[in-house]
Amino acid sequence: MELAKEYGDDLQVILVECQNTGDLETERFTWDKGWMGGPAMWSSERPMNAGMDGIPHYVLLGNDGTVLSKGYSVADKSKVEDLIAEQVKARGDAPDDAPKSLKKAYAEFAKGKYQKAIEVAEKAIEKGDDVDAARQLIDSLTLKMERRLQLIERQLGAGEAVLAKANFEAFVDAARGVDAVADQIATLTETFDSEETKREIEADETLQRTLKKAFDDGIDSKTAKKLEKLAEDYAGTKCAERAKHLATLVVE
Amino acid sequence: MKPIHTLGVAAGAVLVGALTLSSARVPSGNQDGIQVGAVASYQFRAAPVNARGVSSLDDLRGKPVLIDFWGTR
Repeated sequence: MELAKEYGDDLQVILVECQNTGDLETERFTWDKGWMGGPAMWSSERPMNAGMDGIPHYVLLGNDGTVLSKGYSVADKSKVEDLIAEQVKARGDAPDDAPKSLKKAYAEFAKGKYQKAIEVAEKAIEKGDDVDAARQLIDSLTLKMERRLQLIERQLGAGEAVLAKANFEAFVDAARGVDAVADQIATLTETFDSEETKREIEADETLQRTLKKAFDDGIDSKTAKKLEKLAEDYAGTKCAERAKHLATLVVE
Repeated sequence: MKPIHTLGVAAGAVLVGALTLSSARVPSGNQDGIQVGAVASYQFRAAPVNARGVSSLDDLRGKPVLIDFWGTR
């Protein structure tokens, strides 16, 4: 949890419950600790077999999804911290085997300048430099952009409208001028401008305020009532479904 | 008595052989499971708590991911 707080968006921590307490109990645990809505994700599904005996143990993935290290969390604490720091620093770096003509494209993409990144690759193609690698890079950058849009859609679908909106605004800014995603941006802009989504955003803002107050002041029976009222006030929204579910986690 | 002794030695040899094979097969600690250098991929069946739309490890590419296995009891 400390690392999740320290690195914020630069690191994703996934806590995997290994004692088969079940999804609901896992949720209750995070709720009681005030970690609901926090930076770390929780799951009772094991994304892989780490091959370790006993808990706590860990698997650390690098920026590209490769396993960098695995072991026992307490014993490897400083090793893990060093590896995370290296990965965070290396974000946006071109792979070691990337042609020199394309290195700038990786840097521009990491800075959130998607069109500039594509222009660098297109220029390489025009010049006849590293043509295959440049084409592959354009394809992979386009895929990354599409995945980000899909994530925004899923965030909306999960009732996380405030986060979805913030991510969409950042994406639009970064992808200005990129033809490959222009249609998808136009469609999502319509979605965000709709009354339905505006209501979702209002509901989510209210929910976040309610949760903040609950975690700051302590969770009690009033919290459940507030969540139930929010679900009524914003009935029909995805956020109301979340609020209704959260109300069931309050154990008096 | 000799045949019995021979049988006993033979049985012992089989037992030692079986144990050797068995211990070679049984993974110990870090020998089993996903290895360093492998690319991890997983699609969650149910959205994790605080998932914020993330449904797979692939969604998290571009940043380091620390998967911590522990318990709540």
